[in-house]
Amino acid sequence: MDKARDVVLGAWEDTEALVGQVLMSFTGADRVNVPDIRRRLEVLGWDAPIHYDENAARRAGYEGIVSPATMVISWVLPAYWSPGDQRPISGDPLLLPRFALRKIPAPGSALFATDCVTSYLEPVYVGDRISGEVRFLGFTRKTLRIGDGAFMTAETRYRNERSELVAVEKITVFRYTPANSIQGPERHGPH
Amino acid sequence: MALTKAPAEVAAAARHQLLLEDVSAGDEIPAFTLPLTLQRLVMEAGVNRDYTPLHHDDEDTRLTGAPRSYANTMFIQAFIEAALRSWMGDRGQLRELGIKMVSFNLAGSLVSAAGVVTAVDGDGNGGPRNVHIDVWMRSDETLTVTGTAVVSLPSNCDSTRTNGSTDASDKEIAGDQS
Repeated sequence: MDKARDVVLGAWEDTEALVGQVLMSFTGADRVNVPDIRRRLEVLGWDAPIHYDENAARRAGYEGIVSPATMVISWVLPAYWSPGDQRPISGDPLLLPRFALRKIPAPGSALFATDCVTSYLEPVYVGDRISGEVRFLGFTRKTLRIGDGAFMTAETRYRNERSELVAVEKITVFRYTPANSIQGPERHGPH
Repeated sequence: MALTKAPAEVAAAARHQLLLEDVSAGDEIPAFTLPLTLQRLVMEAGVNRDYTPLHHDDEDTRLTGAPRSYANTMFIQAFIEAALRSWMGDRGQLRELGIKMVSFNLAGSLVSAAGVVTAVDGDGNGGPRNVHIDVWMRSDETLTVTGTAVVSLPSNCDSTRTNGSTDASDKEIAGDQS
């Protein structure tokens, strides 16, 4: 098991049973906020006044400082630790985002994103709290040079607290058993 | 360091605004570049909160077949948004972004995002005002991402409907929000 992958293993029948189902719902740990936006601009060296200057944002037609549209995924990621949780100890598993396509039972522990299409429907403002709901749209079995597996697609619908749909994302990953490790069935391996 | 700018600088930045009428198929979106050091990938992990080792741990990443740490999907999306925003100005809006991963945006490389306009919808007279763009990224010379984007832009017609000046249009918008 690759410690970095953190995937749920199973048979293709298990995968089929989840098609059309909601895999996961989550709400961001924090409201959309200026410091996190500032750090997004900082890491890219990206100057866009609508993301830090109230007057510039209003001049551009917004109701206030607006988040970069592509931050929507970060705004729904839950906390890695919250008050009341156990404190970290040696040997704890890696802290990984709970991306839904890792949690679909299927053969093969390897995966990588191949495509992602997102429609941005409404501005996301400072103060908003964003939630997401992930639905499994389906999968197509495929054997590639790197291994046997399937293209899996999930749709995430992002909403603000007013239940307005702010973005819809379709992401596809290739989930597979690497060709050089097919001799060992992984479906009963550790997750 | 705070990002807050002096009012004059903010005003100067706000003046850079592409209008629908300025854009034609074939127009190029200038390259937006960044030296993607491992340190910057660590900063990026702090920003997007995806701490998967593939995006900051070279040793772990090599176990998966990639030569060293590489940028994740959220970085790619934001980087292309930054390229588009820098080109179109504050009043443009990103409507859709689709990306296809072709190769890795590797730590230690110079990454760049650029694009070319493929089509312009509408004339700004109440209909759609979308600009369709092919986008891509490179890690040094290697093509790493291809995709498409749709942005909407303001139009000259916006200001014509007020008093014919773009500045007046800005004031009208500000007034609407107050």
